[in-house]
Amino acid sequence: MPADLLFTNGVVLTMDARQPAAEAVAVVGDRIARVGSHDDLAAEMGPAARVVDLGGRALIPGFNDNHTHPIFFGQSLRTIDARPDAIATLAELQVAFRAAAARPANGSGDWLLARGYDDSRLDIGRHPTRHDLDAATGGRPAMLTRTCGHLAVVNSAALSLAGITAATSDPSGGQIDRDAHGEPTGVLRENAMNAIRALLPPPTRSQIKADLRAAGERFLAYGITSVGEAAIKTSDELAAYQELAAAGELPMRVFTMMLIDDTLDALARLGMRTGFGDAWLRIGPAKLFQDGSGGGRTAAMFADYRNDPGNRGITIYDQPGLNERFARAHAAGFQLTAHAIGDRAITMILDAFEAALTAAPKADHRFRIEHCGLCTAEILDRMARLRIVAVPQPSFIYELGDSYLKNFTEEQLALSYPGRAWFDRDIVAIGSSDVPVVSCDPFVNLRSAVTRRTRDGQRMGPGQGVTIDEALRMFTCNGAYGSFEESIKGSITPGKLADLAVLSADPRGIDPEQLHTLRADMTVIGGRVAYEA
Amino acid sequence: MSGDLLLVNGVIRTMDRGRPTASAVAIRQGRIVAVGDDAEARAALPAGVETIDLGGRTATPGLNDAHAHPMGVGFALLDLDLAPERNAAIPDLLEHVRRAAAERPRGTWIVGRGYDQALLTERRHPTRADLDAVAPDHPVLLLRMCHHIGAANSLALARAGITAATPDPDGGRIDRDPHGEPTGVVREEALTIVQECLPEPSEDDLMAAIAAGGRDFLANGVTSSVEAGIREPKELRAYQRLREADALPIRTYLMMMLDEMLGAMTDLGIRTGFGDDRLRIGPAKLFSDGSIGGQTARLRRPYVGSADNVGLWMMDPAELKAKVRRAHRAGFQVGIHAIGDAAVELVLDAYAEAQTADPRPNPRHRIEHCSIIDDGLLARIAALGVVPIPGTSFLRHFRDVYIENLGEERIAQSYGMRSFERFGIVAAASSDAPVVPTSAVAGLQTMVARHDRFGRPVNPAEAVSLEDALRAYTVNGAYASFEESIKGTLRPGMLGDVTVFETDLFALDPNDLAAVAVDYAIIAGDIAHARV
Repeated sequence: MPADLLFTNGVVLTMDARQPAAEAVAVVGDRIARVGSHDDLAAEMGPAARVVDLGGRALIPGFNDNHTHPIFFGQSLRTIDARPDAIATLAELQVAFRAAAARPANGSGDWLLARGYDDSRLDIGRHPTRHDLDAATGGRPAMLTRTCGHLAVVNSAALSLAGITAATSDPSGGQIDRDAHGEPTGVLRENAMNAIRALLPPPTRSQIKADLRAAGERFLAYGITSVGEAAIKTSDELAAYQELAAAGELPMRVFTMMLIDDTLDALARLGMRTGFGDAWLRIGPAKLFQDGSGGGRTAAMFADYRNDPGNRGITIYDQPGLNERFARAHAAGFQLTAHAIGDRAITMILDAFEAALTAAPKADHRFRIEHCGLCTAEILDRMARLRIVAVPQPSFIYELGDSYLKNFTEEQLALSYPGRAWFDRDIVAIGSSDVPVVSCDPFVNLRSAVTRRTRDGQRMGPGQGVTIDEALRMFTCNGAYGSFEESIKGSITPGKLADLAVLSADPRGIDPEQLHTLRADMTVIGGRVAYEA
Repeated sequence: MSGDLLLVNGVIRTMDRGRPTASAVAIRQGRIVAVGDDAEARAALPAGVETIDLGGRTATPGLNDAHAHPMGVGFALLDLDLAPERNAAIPDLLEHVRRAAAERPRGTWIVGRGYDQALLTERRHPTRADLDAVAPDHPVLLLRMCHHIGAANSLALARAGITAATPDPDGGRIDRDPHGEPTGVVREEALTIVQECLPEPSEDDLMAAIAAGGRDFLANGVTSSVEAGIREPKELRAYQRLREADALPIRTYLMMMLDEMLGAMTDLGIRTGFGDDRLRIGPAKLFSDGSIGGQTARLRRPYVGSADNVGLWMMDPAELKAKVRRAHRAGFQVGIHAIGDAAVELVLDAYAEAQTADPRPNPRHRIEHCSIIDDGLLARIAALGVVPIPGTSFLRHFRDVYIENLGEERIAQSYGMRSFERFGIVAAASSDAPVVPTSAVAGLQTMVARHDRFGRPVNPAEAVSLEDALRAYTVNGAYASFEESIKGTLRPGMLGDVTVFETDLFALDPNDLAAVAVDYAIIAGDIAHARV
């Protein structure tokens, strides 16, 4: 009985407690057919179409990055890369803008778009202002989005097009930063960015598909075979995913988080809910955003931010607004989730979830909190009791941890993205990156989950490190659980989808501080070799 | 439920032109891994796999009903069975009603279906007086087999607000006695008014109906069906909940009623194709006209015996075209009920105009039923790549109704599989159950033998071979739902859906096909139905 693909001579980390280790895996069609010893499989499978000698390397289930923005990721690959690794100074930033202004328009119309800066890592140590951008952009409107995506700096041309002046009041759930004279500085937070975004030429469906393909190539090169699309807002976005899936061109498996204010009404009118779709594209939870970012000091906290008295962050909805939206989504049969980073935001979400479940109990609801950054003992108790799932981004610790350490006290950070506490209390913690907020490199993510080390070498919530086995589970079987798909993927088990990654070494056998040196040598999705180094 | 299954020693009609017959099929984890002789198939599976010795029986790809109402079939199973084969006279009908009245709480509805007054001894519809005598305290509605005429008792008429003073509604008629009192017989729109008084089924009721209906399809060897109309969100929810629980009996392709559902779908960016191989969004659906029995199908020339009655448009033709354009532009496959020749022509005009305005490769728009056609219409269907979905069992039941209303000449090419073949048109077989029974073998017989259930012929020139009739019930159904790459043919890689008949179909006299039983219906290598 021939296999299509046979992996031998490897260290197979199955993530399946019933058969945790093996040497060989046989794939038939798009499924895992057999898992066992080299001899077992050689005898049964006969000649395989292709044999891969792992040479002692590790074979794991394909990584599942449960919270990503693939469309933004793809877009970012064609906008100015303003991330700290690419641009360290204001001067370099201005050079990049001038260079972009000289190139022909690339799908953004007249706009100059840049993404990824971190004010805490720019030489000026502050956000650029509109004047900083004006110097490099002339009359063309420009937008520089912070790495977190929750705040942006725009130039004067952009403010003018959007009609934002000193007389404009802050929109609900947003803030227009102002100078001493009340003039907008160019920094726009949360919903204040909407007026600018509304002016950007909407990407065509064809552009969206191209962006998705570009993002998909990157995911596969990292061994990532499944992602959560963290924000479906428009019909063009879902249609783009569907068109790619229908053509067999969706590079990775996707479940979609459906933004409540934009999509719930139509979903309820249709009668469609979480779970509809197939193993390539599936409707996921109903979602909303409740606060901003820890690095940008817009995450909603109970206490003031360090060195920023009076600032406790921003909440998007009040409690009745949250309760009403989640009650409606729950009644329509959806899994629920919310972006919540600050302890106050998390608490409000837990209140809303508890109200929904009290009014209409549901077994195995798997309600989630995306990020779930600043936890407290009480929050953890409630998460355990209500069986709420956490979806953190361990890489935030590395990339953003130094700014968190500036913004929050050590006490607040003791239970930040608390992997150890979640595992100890049987709260399911699922791995993700939130790319392009930070890189989707799963090896940096694994390292961060284990070592808790920031870029500058500090430790954020040092007691919260998880083991490498736990970290691997976060990014494989727990990811499948997050979308109710654990019966078809997330472990190397006969009958499950053949989504696999060959790693350059066994992650359990190296110094955790060196986990970032691992590579994906080969990525298989649905039994097809989709990437080879 | 391993999805592993071996079938050997059979006569397997693969529908694969590259390898039309085989004795064995091997299914692994729900997909076909080998088709060939017994040894080849055995070698492709582990020892000890579940095995069916076909003993020479015919096996085919799982049958695919391209237009039916599984929910409706389920509900119909709950209604009283008034079929002429089992009820010769009005007292037989009344006995069903009397028994139901004894068993059910007062005030709850009693619904029966399937009577034909032309075949009752008394040659008349039951009256309200007949029904009142056996069920004075329950509203009763008996549906004629055409589904366009019904007989109601006094309580049902009262619930519907129908009295002597009620005028006939537009598009309907209330039969009256010489004193002007309603007799209980209600037609078309007047019937709809009574039906609207029936209590709304709950989501759980819908799920039970889908499950019961699905089991009926399986017993008839049908493993895939269209659901010919999702109108309300609770219907889609019911389907989805069954799918989630792994309790959806058959693979289902959902037609979405355009008026009620298109807006929500375009708001989301969802369209034809979304879903998986068990439950998938299908075409946006419209009705262009009505039925022959109700004289509401839209014709080019008047109905027999009328100077000017050419039937109805369900909506203004310009409005239909605009809706088609909208759905087509949003990327949907479109499926339109069109029975009369004028309706078929309008639908073709609408598809042609939409395609010219927004060219799209291979939209495979459909015509449901596509009943009254000629070579001119067939040429246009072929040129546009439109997929007709003929009611391949209709002539078995409705030959008389058709001839009475249209004359023999006009129905010469109705559901004419030979004509479709002549023009290279892919036409997918369908039952439209519960309008007629779910039986696929009845459809096969009608396509091959071209006569009704009393043996009276309907243009035998349209007869096709059994092999081609089976293609209409397998490959063509898959094509009609864009799934020909995963089902409809028995070939390695395809879904492991197989129908096993009780005998070698090809050894039978075609007139015996309709009596053949199905021994197994297999979905994804699991035995979903076994007759024994």
